[in-house]
Amino acid sequence: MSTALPVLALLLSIVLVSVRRTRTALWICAAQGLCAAGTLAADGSLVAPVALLLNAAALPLALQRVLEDRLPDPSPPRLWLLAVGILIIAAVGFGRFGNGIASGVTVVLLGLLLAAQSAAPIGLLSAQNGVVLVAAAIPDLPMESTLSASVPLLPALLLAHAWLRQ
Amino acid sequence: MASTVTDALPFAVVALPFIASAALATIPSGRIGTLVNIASAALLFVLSCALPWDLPDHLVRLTTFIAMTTSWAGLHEAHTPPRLYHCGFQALVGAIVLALLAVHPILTWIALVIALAAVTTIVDTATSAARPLLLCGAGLMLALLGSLLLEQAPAPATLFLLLGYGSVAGLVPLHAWLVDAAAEAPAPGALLISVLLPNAPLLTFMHLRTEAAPSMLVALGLLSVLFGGASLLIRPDPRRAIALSGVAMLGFVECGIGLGVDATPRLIAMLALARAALLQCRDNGPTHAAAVLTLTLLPLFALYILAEPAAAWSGWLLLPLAIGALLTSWTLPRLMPNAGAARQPLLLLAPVWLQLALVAALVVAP
Repeated sequence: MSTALPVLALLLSIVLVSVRRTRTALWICAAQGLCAAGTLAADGSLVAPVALLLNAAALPLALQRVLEDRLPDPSPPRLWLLAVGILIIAAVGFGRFGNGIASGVTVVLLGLLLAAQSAAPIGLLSAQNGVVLVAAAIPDLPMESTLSASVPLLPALLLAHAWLRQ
Repeated sequence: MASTVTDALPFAVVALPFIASAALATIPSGRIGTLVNIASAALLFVLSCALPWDLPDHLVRLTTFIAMTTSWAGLHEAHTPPRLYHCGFQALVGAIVLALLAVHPILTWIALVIALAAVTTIVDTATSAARPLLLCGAGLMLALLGSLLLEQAPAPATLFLLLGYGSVAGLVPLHAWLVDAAAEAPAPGALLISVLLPNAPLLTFMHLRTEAAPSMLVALGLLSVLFGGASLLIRPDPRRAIALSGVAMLGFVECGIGLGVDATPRLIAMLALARAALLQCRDNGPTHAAAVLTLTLLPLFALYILAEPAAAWSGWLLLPLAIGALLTSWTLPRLMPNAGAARQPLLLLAPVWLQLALVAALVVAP
């Protein structure tokens, strides 16, 4: 279970790159958050419910209320080229550190790519899910570090900014 | 021994600006808000003077001193800034102090997230805060990833940390937000963002003990030195020029950290004081000329400090450092026109001269 979930989260990241509607993207982010929280829960982390509540439920729902329904359309060939580049670099560079870390780092980098190219809050939320995956894959990580990785402070900051703008 | 935020005095130094920020949120009058802001900044400086005499605490004193002198500008502003501006001012100072004093890397990271929130409050009073949020937010996400991975995968984690915290410090390649913020935020806020905020990430760089850190610091530092110097050639407006010269100078500091130069903290202090003096200066007389001259000479002084260790590290390193220093020193004075307004009140001229005197004292200090 704990090896399948990071891979599933990574596959969802790849799907996320091609999505053009906010609602669909947020559903994918929520599913990814579920995978990340599940990975934490499989390791017996007490922070798993926090990650589940914030990353898979609260933040996607809140973002759905403030973001426009259609995502800005980036240049697809360039986006895919960069995404494939990130996948290769992460697989080669992080493969030896284990499945969880490699998948998590790839999800973070794809999320940041999405944030730069298309929708910043959705990209950062996806990247946050990647950070949770990395935290779950590191053995004996202190509780405060796991908690910091699981609480989506940066996506929440973007959400607050978007809400105040409205 | 270094103090930690759990000790009583450092705790008070961290807590005071946040309490002041909360109090300022409840004060509707801009004039009273300005006075409370000044009083809080002065009290914070006095408190920070009682901190132990070591590196993070020196940077805290530097931060609180410049914050105090910057807050005085509010007394002579023609338009009172919005209430949120003062809240952001105090929250930013508190977050920087917390980041400097934090021992745990995760606490440093949280402090810098708070600083980013405060930056958006300050920048938002003038223009959109979307760019800082995106670039700095992406950088902080990388920094969090780096902090988590530091023991598992030291080399990539170091790169993530340098890129991530480098974005907060305004270092190349994620520097664009800081140049924009420095140019578009109200002048005192721009000073806090571009002069004081970089100190916390730089201190984090000094604490990096991985094998890959020195070479990566030097490589990224060189990138900032050359990019910052070359960007001045396109003749940006004065505030952008000061910010871009800061990018180049921070590149020297980054190289200094990578090369293990003992005088790097001194260079950080000199850079902060010189830039603060120039940004606080509104007179176009001798004070402005002295501030421009000081900032112009700093890259050459940085080159002088770095020359020997750089040559010992690798001879070719001197060439890009010299090119960057000469570019910055040659172009900066040409971008500083006599654009100042009327005569500056003595209360605002005094800190400028005091800061310039401190820079001079740091040059001759043993």
